[in-house]
Amino acid sequence: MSILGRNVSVKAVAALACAMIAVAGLLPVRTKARPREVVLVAKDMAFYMSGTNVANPEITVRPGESIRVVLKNEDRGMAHDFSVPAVKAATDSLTWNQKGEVTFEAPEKPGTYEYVCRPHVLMMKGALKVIRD
Amino acid sequence: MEFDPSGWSGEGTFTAALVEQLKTFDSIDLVRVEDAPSSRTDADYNFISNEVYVRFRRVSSVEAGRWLGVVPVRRTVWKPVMTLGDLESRLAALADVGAPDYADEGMLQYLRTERIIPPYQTRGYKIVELVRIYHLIS
Repeated sequence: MSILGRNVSVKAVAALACAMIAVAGLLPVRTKARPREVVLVAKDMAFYMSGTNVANPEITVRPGESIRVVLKNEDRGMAHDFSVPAVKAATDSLTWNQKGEVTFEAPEKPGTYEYVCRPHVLMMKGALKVIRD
Repeated sequence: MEFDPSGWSGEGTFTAALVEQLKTFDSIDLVRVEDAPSSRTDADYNFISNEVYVRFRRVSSVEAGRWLGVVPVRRTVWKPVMTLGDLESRLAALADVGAPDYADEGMLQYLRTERIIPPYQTRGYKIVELVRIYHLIS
């Protein structure tokens, strides 16, 4: 076998390839998992999980889990947002039929945190539960 | 004027005041009030959501036109004597109703809040009343 004009044995190339694969396997994998998507709808002054009719549902996450919340505002004449004050994450304020999203990492400490719509905190708030598996 | 409160529990003092005003308008021939399914109660608040449907009185007029652009014809056309925009202006002029918090081509919306503190309590609860007025076409 000839590489760049030099004669190299097939066995040597195979051994080198095996060594490279073995070294690559030992390196830590640095790829990040894709965030879990939670789709919410704001209507009638409440949050709803897309396709359900439970107002301000509990959202369960794992410690440190990456979450992407997609919010669609279906409340005609109202501006809403989605905010988790504990992690300082929030969507923009959304008007009727607008869609927004925010990606955040859940708190590491298990417990119950709050998610809210900042202009309507009294009526639009729910629990973000951080639970270990 | 026809008034249909059959789908309304009667909750909402602002709704009641608004409906009483709507009943006095000559240009409205139907007022229907319904509880919206989103009404709910929590420890901190009582959310009352009502939907009001109004139908405007219509008048007929005869319009001349041409069938297929050639044959002269006269048609009777029914038109409402009021629009939702006119209703918005009329309501805005009333002291106990006022301008809506939101209006578009198909809806007027009022949002009223009031904190109620019962005797011997310090915190109380909030009454949030949402009223949406729609124009009934048929």
